[in-house]
Amino acid sequence: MLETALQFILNGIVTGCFYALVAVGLTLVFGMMGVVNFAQGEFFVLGGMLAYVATVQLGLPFYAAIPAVLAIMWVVGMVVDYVLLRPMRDAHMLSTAMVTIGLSIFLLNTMLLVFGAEPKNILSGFSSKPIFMGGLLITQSRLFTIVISVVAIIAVHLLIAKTRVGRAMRAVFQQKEAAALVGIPIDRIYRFTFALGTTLAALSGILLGSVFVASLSTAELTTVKAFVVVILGGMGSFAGAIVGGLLLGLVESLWGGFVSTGYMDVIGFALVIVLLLFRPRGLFGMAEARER
Amino acid sequence: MNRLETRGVLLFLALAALAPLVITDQFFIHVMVMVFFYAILASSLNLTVGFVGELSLGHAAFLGIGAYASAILSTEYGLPALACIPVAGLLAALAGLVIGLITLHLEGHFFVLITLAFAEVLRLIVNNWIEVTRGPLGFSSIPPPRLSIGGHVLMDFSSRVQFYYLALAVLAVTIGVVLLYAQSAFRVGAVAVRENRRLAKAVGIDPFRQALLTFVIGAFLAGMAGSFYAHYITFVGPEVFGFSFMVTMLMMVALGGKGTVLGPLLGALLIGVALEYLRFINEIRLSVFGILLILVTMYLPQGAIGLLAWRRMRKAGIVKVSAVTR
Amino acid sequence: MLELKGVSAGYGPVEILRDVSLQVGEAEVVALVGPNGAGKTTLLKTISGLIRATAGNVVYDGQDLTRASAAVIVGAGIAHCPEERKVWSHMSVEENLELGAYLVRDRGAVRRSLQDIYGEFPVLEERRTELAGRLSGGQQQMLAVGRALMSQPKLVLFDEPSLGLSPILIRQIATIVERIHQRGIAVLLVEQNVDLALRLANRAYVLGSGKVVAEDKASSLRANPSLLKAYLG
Repeated sequence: MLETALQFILNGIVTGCFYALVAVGLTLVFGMMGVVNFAQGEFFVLGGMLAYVATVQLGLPFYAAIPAVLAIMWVVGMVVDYVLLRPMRDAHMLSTAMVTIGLSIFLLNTMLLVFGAEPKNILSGFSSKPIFMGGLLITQSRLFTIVISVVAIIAVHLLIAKTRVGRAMRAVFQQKEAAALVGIPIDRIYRFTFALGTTLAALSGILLGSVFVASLSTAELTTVKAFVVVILGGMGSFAGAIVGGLLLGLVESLWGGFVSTGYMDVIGFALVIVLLLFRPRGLFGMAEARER
Repeated sequence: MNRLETRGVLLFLALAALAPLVITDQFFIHVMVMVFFYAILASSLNLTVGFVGELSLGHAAFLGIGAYASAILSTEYGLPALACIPVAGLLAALAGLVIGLITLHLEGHFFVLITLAFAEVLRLIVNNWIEVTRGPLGFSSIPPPRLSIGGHVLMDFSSRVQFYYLALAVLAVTIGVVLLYAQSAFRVGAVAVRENRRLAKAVGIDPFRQALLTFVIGAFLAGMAGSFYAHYITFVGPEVFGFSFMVTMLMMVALGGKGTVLGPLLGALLIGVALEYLRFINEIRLSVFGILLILVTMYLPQGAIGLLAWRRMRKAGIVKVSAVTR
Repeated sequence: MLELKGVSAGYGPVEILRDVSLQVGEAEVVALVGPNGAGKTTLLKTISGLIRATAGNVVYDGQDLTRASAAVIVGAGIAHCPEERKVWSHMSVEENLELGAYLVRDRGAVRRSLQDIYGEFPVLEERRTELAGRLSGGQQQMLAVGRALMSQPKLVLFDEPSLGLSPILIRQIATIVERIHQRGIAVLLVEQNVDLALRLANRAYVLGSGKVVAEDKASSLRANPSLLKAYLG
């Protein structure tokens, strides 16, 4: 019984890593730019699809495919920001939301045309033989997912906390006008942030695709769940997105394991609805930190 | 509501009422039935999006509730279809009341996301609650409406034209409701809510109650649309809760012109016709929609109706051609 | 060194400034006074590139900055110390100051400016690791001034530096402006406190509903209080 529970927790952590990576990107873009990116789930899936192209169709090794796909997705993020979001910087939030909804519809259906509806395997080269840790078992690809996610999250944290561009990001986040007045190029910081968010979503998609399969049908649910995580953690909160992601992964895994798998996807929404009723600022309540 | 718009709405309804007398092509009739159906949906969504100024991505839930209510009531309980339509509307309105009470306290992004979450939850429940909803299989062979007086059947809806007029009738009711809404004092309230919640409060309008009322009316109309859809298509599955209906409605409101009465009708006509006649490019259709939605939002924020009004004003020299702001 | 020629600007369709022309000379302190809503803050924002001028030109050191971005303008040597301080309250005092030198690539120069500012405002050095949000209003104002100086400007735009400060702190601000002036840095000073502004300035412009309504030596304006009163309403 205890071992089963621990196994579910371990599985929940793996799922939580996927959620956390997608949600960190979403929350950074929201916190900095006030943009809700409805295409985040599509970026996630596109990452997986490109990893499929790289490993299966082009025959690249997995370790080379990951940086290649991430680089492409970085450029995709820059282009999307430049073409679609930059002209909408002063527009109403609803208009920007409509633009990202349009982008999400376009990306999803275009991917459907290009890749077809059937799920794709990513060749990670990991053996499917599980590793036993005590009584728990974990596959190599899942272990890899956890390691890479932790590394990515620490890297992003250091980027924001320690580097020049990270400091500029925080300055823009807290007090945009002052940031402009000391010469921080706000537009370029936005583009950087959006590209970072896009790349993190794609990384999550690659990792998930290597553990399970990359599938277009997950795009919409991924976006919605990432929102769930962002609301759980508090909009714009980096730490909140990570904790919220892990929390959602754990709750889903335990619920699916002990209660019912049918309603597994509902549980996150139920959490969010309850949370919004009692703590509308999220668990971490970072939204207040934003000054106008 | 200006004169141009009133005339436009009346013209739309008059042409629609007369069209079947001239054009008897069955496919055309079908397309127009779908256009009316979409027009009801778009008009109902427009109440919240256009008049309150909050983006609801959960509106498909009310369509779904209406469709399922009608499917269950008519197949399992034998309720006549024509009675189902208002009942489905009321049930959707009830759901709208509950969801609105929870969600409308939130603004902006939170509202957008939470309404989307509600629609998702309902879709998942419909998929899983097999005893009641039959799960992914859904309901088929939903009976058509019947209109009889004293045992004498007036209309049995065996022909499309009869559906055509039924849809037009529901649409006329919808337009009537929206017109009443737009012209009543509520409009003052709701528009104030859209422009500035604090201002609304200051002049004694409770923005929450205004928004809630608007939301419930929208849910009622969408529920009726769902019920009509169930009886016309005769099949209802979980996809009525899906995002594609939501996107289609949103497109229609955006393209036609949000916050107007005529706009959603125009949007439904343009996109509805394109949807049905462009079936042969089915695969790329949604990709094109995505791009269209982006372009309309970026370059035509007032929609087609804005274009009309703008050109008229420009002729009259009211609007200066101003540079696009950064 | 700074010259505005027939500048108009505003927010969206709302025009606030109409055909404003003014000059700030080398190492000169110029005061900009006028009633509330006259467009003083808008004028400073237009110079620093937060708002784009719809007509006219902003020329600085022979360089046309009318369409330049805020970053280019800071780089050219114009620092703007904004209204209500606008410090980053969730960053440390030192981080706030270092960000002021965002465009200065030379680390040594940044360190020297930092020491300089700490010499000027010892309290900032005492509290350098604390979050800026924990400072008092007056200390935040010093931080905002220090931050503006970190970019090594040749012209500083001050927007209401005395707002909400006690008389002692107002005197301190006045001393700071004088010291900046002594270093050969030009100042364009927007102040509600007209008396203070005219004492510090060489020349002054009076702005009324988006237009320059008077321009004179500060001393002459001070000598003629009834005229000044008529302008300021």
